[in-house]
Amino acid sequence: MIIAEETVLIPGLTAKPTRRGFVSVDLAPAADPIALTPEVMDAEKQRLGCIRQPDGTWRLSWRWRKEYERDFTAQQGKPVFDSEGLVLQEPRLWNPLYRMDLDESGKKLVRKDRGRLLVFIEPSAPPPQPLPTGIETVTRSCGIGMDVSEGVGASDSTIEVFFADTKEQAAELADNEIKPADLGRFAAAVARFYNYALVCCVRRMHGITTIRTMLDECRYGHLWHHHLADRPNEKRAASLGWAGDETSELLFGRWIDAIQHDETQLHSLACWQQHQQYIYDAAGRIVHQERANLPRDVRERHGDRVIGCALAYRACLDLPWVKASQKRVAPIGSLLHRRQEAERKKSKSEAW
Amino acid sequence: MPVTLAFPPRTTQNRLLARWELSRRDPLCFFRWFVTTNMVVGRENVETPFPASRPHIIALTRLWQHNPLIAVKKCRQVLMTWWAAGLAVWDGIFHDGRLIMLQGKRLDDVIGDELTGDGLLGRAKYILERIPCKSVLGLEVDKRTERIMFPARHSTLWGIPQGGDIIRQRTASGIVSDECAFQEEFSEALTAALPCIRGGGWFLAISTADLSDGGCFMRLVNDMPDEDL
Repeated sequence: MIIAEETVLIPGLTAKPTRRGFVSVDLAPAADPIALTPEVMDAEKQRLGCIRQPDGTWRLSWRWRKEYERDFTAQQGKPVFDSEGLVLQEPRLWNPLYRMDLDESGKKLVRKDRGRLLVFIEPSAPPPQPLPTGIETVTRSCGIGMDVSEGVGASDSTIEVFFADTKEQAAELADNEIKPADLGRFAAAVARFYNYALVCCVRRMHGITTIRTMLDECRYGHLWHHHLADRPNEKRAASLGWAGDETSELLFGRWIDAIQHDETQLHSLACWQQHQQYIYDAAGRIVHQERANLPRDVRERHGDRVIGCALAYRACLDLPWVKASQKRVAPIGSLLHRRQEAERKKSKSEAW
Repeated sequence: MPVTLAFPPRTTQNRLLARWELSRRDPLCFFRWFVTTNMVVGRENVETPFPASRPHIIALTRLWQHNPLIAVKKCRQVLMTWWAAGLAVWDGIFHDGRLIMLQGKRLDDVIGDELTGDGLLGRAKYILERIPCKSVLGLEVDKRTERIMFPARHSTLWGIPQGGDIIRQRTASGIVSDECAFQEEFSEALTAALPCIRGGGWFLAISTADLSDGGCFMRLVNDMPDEDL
């Protein structure tokens, strides 16, 4: 049968010719009533997040509309971060313990009333989980994410600090007037303060200036490297920092998942609010809602806290939970001392 | 394989050959008698005959026979990948000198797994493995990782990843692009495939709705100009 005009072949199956010479076929669930029975459809609706109303009708989710109603732009305008996940974060929002900024030398952080860095948890804070027997203190690993803007008052440059073990927000900076090189100096001081944290900074545009300042001027080398994962053996690439798109699924996907499954803890109110402002555009790309209508290249210059959080989370995933641990010094003759001695002798006898 | 199928008695053999001849003339007969699928029932994979009598399968097969360029915007779970794999096998088995390309997002997705009937090429291998009495039917099959060859027919089914490079270098008789809306390089593949299509080949693009390809498939099926989106 040659299709010359829009034709309903069977219920749920229509075909129409297109200007490109193709026959466009629309295949709806109604075309296969044997396999896709009403019971199967109801079960699928539930799985895809549709909600049954008291009157028996369904409030359809965008996932259903995309998968079964063939709606290409179903997710347009939908929030990126699950509202239920963000509600879980709400009780954890609190004011910063104190504020910090650089001292006169520009290398060290000191407490200041109007400092730019908001400290929510100190680097020496003990981990929430109990320490193993015999371990007195640990130095917790931290990851830092940085998004860099021009520093001309448009979008924010951000520094987000997270603990690697709990993925908990420890500190935050957001400033739209700090220049990329100054941000590098500030970040090096913050990273040193937070137990020599691993810094994951965006590489594109002004990010490279920040990275070079940290490396060359501040001599801070604990920077996140891109890994070439498509090789049989993963290899460190020469490029430092996050070279990909800041809102790509590769970076954002993990962060969305972490928020959705409550694997992280946010403390900054402004950061939490910004998470609510991210939506999907018509092409399924992640954008800030204020910039949804701007050209794509303009959007990409937008730097803010959410990108910083996603980068910090990325850095935390590549870190051990603790950097160093210090064993408790047991008094001679105590039970702990005898246990440590026995352990030492045992390990010595088992060694080659 | 049961002994009765390996060495069928004369009546069975005649019936088989008659069915094979009918299948040569009509792909729906091939689907009815020679295509087996793998359905998940509960936690088990169950081998079942392809449901060739379902109305949408009949309508789409007839449509494919008369229209070489088809783009199917589908919902989930309507057996389209099995149908496309079956068509590619039918075309390769019964026609001489066919080069049929089976394209997916990644090569691994296309190759899939023969044992569980996964991926386009894996499904094609699964179907071929379950055709009974191949020696009686004169069906020679040479299965490789990325290809299935029919030496007696000089035909090949070839699994390829997304993109236009491989298609551009060859002249395919048929192309199946599965879940093409999820292929970032679908636009390049379509452009590269156009000369083959004009030369008498067929192109079958199947996908659920997505915009990972930059909206190329959406523009194709909704007949929108390239400037939109």
